[in-house]
Amino acid sequence: MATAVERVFSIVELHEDILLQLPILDLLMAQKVSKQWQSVSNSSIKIKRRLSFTKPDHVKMENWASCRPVQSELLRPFFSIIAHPSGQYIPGIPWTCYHIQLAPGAKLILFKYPKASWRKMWLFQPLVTYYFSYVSGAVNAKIPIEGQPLEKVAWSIEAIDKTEKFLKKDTRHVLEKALRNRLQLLPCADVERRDEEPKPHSEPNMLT
Amino acid sequence: MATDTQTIRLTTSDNVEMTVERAVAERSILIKNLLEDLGGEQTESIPVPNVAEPVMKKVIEWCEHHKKDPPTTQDDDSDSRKKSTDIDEWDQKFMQVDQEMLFEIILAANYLDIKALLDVGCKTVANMIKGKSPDEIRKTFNIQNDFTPEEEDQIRRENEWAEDR
Repeated sequence: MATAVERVFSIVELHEDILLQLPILDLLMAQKVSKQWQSVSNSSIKIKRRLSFTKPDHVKMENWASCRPVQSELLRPFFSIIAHPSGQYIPGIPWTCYHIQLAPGAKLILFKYPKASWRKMWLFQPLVTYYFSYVSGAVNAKIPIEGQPLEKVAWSIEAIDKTEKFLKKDTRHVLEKALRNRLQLLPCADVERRDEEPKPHSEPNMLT
Repeated sequence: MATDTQTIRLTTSDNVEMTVERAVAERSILIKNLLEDLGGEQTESIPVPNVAEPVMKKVIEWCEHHKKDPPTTQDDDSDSRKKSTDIDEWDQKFMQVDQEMLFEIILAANYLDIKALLDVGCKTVANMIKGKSPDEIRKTFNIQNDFTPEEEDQIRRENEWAEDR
């Protein structure tokens, strides 16, 4: 007769209940134990939701602003996100504009592994409407991007960083062109809006 | 007058008869519903074919201690999930049993439908998993690694970003 341990792990609901008690990192690691453990993770909506492999059930695609900015606890340390112009993240307030920065060193880890599972995660609920770049702690470019998923913006910035060299003076225009180009947006016609720069935030992290 | 101390009898899978205070036994939703369905005084012993006496004893011990707890709500798992290490002291001590007994208790709690006990059991097992490598987890629960080296390599590549920090 099977042991109680075997019986518990063979009942999917119980196995799921146990795994759901784990912190995210352990939950991710649990997939490596055996095929059966992996299949419990892969087939459970609750676990997938916990790992951000699927979007939260209570949120509609069009109305993600009620969600946390970076859904996955695991990924949160990699990004620094500030609502703008209030400068505060207030849960439940739909934002129209965000500061998004990759934390120092984060890019390296995030992009080092081409097969990384984080690429499957629903990173950011509301779409990003502005991208800010920083030089010496001050905003030097505020680029309107008309609502793009965060991961797409992050990938684009990564790709640009590799291929373009920016002069400090011209950064804004070159970066804007490159970024909008990457995101397959039309060149930005709204010059006025582009020049209306936000007050620099006292953010230590630097992206550009 | 006697409602508080009313007792019922249970017959476990190994054919042992146990006398239990009704209020204690009713921590089990299965037994509670059964008693409600039967109505009136229960004179016959209730068979519990999936649970053996040593396990039932532990379960009753837990139910006795938690007799006065408010009934658990059917709530979402969203707030219980945050505090996985949050097991009250008495429950922690209660769960200090050998591994097989711990898992027997989980099976019994599942069968008898005692949500709070099931929760404590799952949390206890989760605490045994936490912080362990896949290999240590396999050793702990005697699980066979059935991945091919290629499959193992693929999962490793998917998740090394999360470990690398």
